[in-house]
Amino acid sequence: MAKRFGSFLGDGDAGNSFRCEEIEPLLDREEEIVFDFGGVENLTDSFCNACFANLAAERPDTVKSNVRFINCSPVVQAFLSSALNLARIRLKQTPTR
Amino acid sequence: MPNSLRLTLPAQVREAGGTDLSAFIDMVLEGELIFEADGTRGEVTVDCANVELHTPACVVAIAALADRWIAGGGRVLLLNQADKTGYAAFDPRSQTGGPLFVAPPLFEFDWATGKLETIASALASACAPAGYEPRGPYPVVQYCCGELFSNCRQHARANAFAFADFDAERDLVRFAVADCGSGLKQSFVQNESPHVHPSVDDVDAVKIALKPGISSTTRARHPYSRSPNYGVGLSMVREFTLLAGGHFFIQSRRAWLYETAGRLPSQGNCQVSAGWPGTLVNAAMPKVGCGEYLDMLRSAHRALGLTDDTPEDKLFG
Repeated sequence: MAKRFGSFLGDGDAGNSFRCEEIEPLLDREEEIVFDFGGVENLTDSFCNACFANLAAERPDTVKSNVRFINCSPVVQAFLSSALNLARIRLKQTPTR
Repeated sequence: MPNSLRLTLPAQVREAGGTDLSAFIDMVLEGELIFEADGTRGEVTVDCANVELHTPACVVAIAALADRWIAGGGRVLLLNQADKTGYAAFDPRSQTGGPLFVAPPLFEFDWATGKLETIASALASACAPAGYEPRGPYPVVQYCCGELFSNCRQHARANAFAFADFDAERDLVRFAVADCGSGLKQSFVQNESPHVHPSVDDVDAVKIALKPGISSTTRARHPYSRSPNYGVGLSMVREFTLLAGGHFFIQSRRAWLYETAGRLPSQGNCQVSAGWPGTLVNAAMPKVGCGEYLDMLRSAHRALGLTDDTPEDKLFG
C-alpha cells in the first residue's frame, strides 16, 4: 500500500477508485488479497471507509474468506477496525430483500 | 454602489469565542458587495499594516476571496504584507491584478487534480517540522487537512486555500482551510440528501454536517456505486480539536459555529451579503494537547460511535 499510495493514505476518491477498479475485480475472480501496510503511517477515515468499509459492507463473506491485512501498525489497525465495524453497522441497517 | 473598497485589517483576530473571527469575516465580505454589483470591475485594497496576531482563517479568507475576485475580473491590492505571517505569501504581482501566487505554508489545493496527501503533509510539517511521530501534532494536522481537502474534492468541488503554523508563544498548532464552493447547505440540497430539507437554514445545515454519519452525498450518483462517503471526516476534525483542548470554528454561507472543549457551542449568522461563499474551517489546538496519536484516534472514533474493537481479528496477520 505504501508503494502504491505513499505513507499517508488520505484521498477518499482514490480509495474508492482503488476498490472498484482494482480490488473488486480480483474478488470477482475469488482471488485472495493481502494488503501490506508496511510503511503506512497514517490514513484518513475517508480513504479507509471508501475502500475497506464499502468492500466489507458489500462483500462481507468474501472479505472474511479472501482478504488479509499485514504489517499494520496499531494506528493502521485502528482505522481498519473502525471501517470494518462501520461496514457491520451498514449491513445491519440494510433491509434484507 | 462604489466599485472600490479599502479593508484595513485589525491588529488581532483570536480564536477563542469565535466572535473575533466572525467579525473579521463580516468585514472582508464587504468586498463581495463590490463584486456582486453587476458590471463592475471592482477594486479592493487590503492593508495589513496593523496585523499583529491573526488566526489562520484570516489568511485563507483573504487568499480565497482575492483569488475569487481576481478570477472575476476584479483587482486586489495588498499593502504592507511583507513581514506578516501568512500574508507575506502573497506575491506582489497580485497588486497588479495578475495571478495570485502562494508560497508555503499557504497553499492552494486544486480540487480536481491536486495531490491532497502532499499538501496535507506539508501543512503538518509547518506545525511539526520533524515530520511524522506517533505523538504530537503532525499526524493530527495531516489527518485533519486530508479530510478537509477530501471534502473540497467530494462535496464543495472547488479549490481551497490552506494555511498552517505553530504559534510558539501561545503553544498553539493552527490550521485553516477555506473554499468558495457550494457551502454545506447547498451541497446537501444539490445532492438531494435525505438529511436536510431545502427549507433548513445555514445554521442547521452546519450542525447537521457535524453529526457523525451524515454525508451530503448519501443519494448522489457516483461513477462506481452508491456514495462512498460515511460522513465521518468533518466530525473527526472537530473531535480531534476538542480532544486537544483547542478551538474549532466553521463558517458556511451565513452561518458560523465555534466550539471549545467543555462548553456549549456558540453560533451565529454573518451580517453581510450572502455570507461566506463556500465553507471555511479553522482549528487551533495546544501542542501539549496533542498526545499519543493512537489514543486520540481511538478516543475520537469512540466519541463518534465508531469503535475499533473489531471481531474480525483473524483478518490481521
